[in-house]
Amino acid sequence: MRKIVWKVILDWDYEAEERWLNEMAADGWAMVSTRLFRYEFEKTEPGEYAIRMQKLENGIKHPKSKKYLEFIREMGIEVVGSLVGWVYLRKKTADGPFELFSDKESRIKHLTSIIYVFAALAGVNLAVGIVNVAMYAAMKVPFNLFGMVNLLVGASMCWYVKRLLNNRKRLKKEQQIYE
Amino acid sequence: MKNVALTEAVYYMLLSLIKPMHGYGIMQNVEELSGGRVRLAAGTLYGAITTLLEKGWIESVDAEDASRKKEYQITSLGRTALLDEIERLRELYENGCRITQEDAQ
Repeated sequence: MRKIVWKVILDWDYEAEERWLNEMAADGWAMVSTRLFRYEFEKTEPGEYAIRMQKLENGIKHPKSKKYLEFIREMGIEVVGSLVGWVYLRKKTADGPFELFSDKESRIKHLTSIIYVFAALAGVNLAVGIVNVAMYAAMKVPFNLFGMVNLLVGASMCWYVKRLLNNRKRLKKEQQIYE
Repeated sequence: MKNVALTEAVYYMLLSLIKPMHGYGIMQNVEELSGGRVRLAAGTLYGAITTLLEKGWIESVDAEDASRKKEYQITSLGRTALLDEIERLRELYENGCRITQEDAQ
């Protein structure tokens, strides 16, 4: 049995998305595919699978990504979806806990590539927003929805980047003592 | 680079690859060697394999048939690094034992 869930995750929080997908898996609904905002699940035993999301360093079609995905398949990890450089992975919980990274260095590296993406997106949104608002203001139009949305999105992404930077800082501090 | 600490993951990986092994085999072997304490995650393991291949500390073993999983083994360069690390660990361990024992007396 399969079901489709539409869900808009607006706060750019991949950990929240991952948490939600794991709650679904714990209830016996394991993700099998995704498109933007659209998730497809199949009925499984409750808790049969655990889900992880990973931001790849290159696009999904890049030879480096293909080699990596081939490697993790051999480790019993299934690739169930991909979206703009992200992959959705699942693994049977019977094979032990599902983590993608087991040391601080690789966690920091992953976090850094996510920070770059959101910092760039935040920058683009803020720039487009400022240009639009300024342009309309020059034309004596007091309110410009498109520009305001860009500014809001840009600001919320800045907020998210700040949170990620804090997480990274904490990891780096711990790394001075532990691996 | 001599006498620089290896990560726990790299140390146990090099130790495992004295015999040729594929990725999943390394993971299982490291877990077994460490009595279940060190569990290498797939992403971390892959990153370490890539780096060690680049450094020439390990190499891929040519598989007789292409459908088999890729295996790796330690090179002489890797073996030197591993032996240096064992010496370094011996120093750490012996100093640790000696000083804490003296203190306890």
